Amino acid sequence: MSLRPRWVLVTLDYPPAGGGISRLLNALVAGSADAVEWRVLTTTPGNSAEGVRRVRPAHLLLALRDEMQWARAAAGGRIVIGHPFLATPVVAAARLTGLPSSAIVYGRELVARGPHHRALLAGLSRVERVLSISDATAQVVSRLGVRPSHVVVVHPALSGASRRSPRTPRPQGRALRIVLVTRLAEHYKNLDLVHAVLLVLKRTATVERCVVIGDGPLRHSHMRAARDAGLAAVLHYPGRLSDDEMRSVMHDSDIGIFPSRTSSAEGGFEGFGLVIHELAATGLPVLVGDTAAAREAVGSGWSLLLDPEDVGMWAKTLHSLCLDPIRLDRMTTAAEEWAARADPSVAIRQMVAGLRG
Amino acid sequence: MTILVRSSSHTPAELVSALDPEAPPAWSRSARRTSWGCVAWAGESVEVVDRWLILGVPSADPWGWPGHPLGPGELASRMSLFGPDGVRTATGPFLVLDMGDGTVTRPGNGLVPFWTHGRFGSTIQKLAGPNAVPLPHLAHHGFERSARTSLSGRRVRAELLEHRPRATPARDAIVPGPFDRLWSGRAGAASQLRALRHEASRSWWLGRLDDRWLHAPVLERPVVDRLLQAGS
Repeated sequence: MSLRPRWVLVTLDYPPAGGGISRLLNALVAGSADAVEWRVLTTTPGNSAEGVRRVRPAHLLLALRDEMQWARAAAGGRIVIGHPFLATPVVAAARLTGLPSSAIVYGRELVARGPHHRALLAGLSRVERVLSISDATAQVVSRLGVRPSHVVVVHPALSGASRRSPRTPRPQGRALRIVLVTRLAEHYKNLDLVHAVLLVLKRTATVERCVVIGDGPLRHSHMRAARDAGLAAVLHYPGRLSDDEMRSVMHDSDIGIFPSRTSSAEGGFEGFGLVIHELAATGLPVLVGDTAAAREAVGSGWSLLLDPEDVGMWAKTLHSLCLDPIRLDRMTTAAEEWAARADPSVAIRQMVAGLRG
Repeated sequence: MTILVRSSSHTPAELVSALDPEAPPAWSRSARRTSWGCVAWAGESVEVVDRWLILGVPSADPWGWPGHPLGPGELASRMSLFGPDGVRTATGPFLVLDMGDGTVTRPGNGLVPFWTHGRFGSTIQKLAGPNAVPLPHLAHHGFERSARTSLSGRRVRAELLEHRPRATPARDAIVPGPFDRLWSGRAGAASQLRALRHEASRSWWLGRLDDRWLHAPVLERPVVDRLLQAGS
């Protein structure tokens, strides 16, 4: 019998699915394998992998029954709900088998978009431990009826230094290369601001290129908008890239941006902003939309918070950074030092402890 | 109230006298000779900074609510830095005349009307007609999306009101009522916005006759973007 407790992670998003939730859960499972024996049950299709079972959504609860039996065979078994929409059915199933349940909660997924979502989220109030990735998310969770004493906040600082080689200094006079990593499925990611800022900067030779890494149903309309606005030569939407390709683009960039806004009209907000850390981990200064939990992800010296609706502020900041290589270098150094100090295992241990209670 | 005229074929004195039929005697009058001709204005709220003549009250609030003035020096510096696209960094009722080449740039809200090839003597009558200086096309201001979205027009209105400063008098800002077609969220948001933009300059003119500066948060970028996204 295993000495490690057996935990079953039930989730909708898991690699190869993109996005922050998928990356966070993968990092948690991989990073805590010495403390927890994990099995992952997910609806994300993909290649088979050890410890990962992929099922169709309709078969999820049936498959969960087998996994719960596996978890109960060792002391400390637990069900971990990896997506809040699974809370109600999974909590019910866990109670039937006597297994304790925990949940990891993020941002926008906690905003109900109708009665069926509300019903799915209702189960969160019966989960024994709720791990929130930010204070902003914890506030949203409390509005769903989860008792504050059941919630623990752990910032998922999961990025350590990932630079492949020393960054080459930007040649004098070369315009900025900007990178942004985002899912292109929601408007609150605020690509409209990026378009507006690039239009304002068009005549100033401030930006050589801006690469938006990521895919989603909005990618083609964003590409069309960029083309119609005469930005196609500057603004690139390459889609989803492999990890190596993505690091290569980041390494070849001067600055990262994370312009997400909070939109009550869309029900969208950032639960944390893992990408902010991923950009900084490659030694990039990051300009961040001053909103929701993105504020909790920024670090001293390498980031600037800007109003995500204020085109003038973003344009002026980029322009001044372009003209001030010393300031940009200072921010780059701060990012590199932060990345060198960062220890993802600390956050992993805190997350496991938070889920255990 | 302010009336501004520019001409490449009149002297400053001729332009100032041309303002007389429209501008009450109590209004101050000014004129500047430029390399391409001259510009004259009667009334208040005109600032000249370097080569930029700024008419109106530009706002620093990205949502376009009144009460957050953007100083003329700051706007002029942005115009010098970014060129005509500098108007995208401000909101509110204003326009900018580049005295270097005589071009007029209006922000996307279209509030302050300006006509080319106008004839003096019937300014107010003309102000009831269409704006002759073309506004930026909505495609350069926002894009109607083809993807599904969870945005709804009525929620966009609610979000706009969340950003309203408490002290804002309702009559100083154009925000159509909750049952206006603009918020219906149906396709065609772009055409409704175009119609509203056209109508807004008339409302602005009436507001100025009443000595008010009318703002149009509904025609500024955050709302236009969201409405075009909701309207798909």
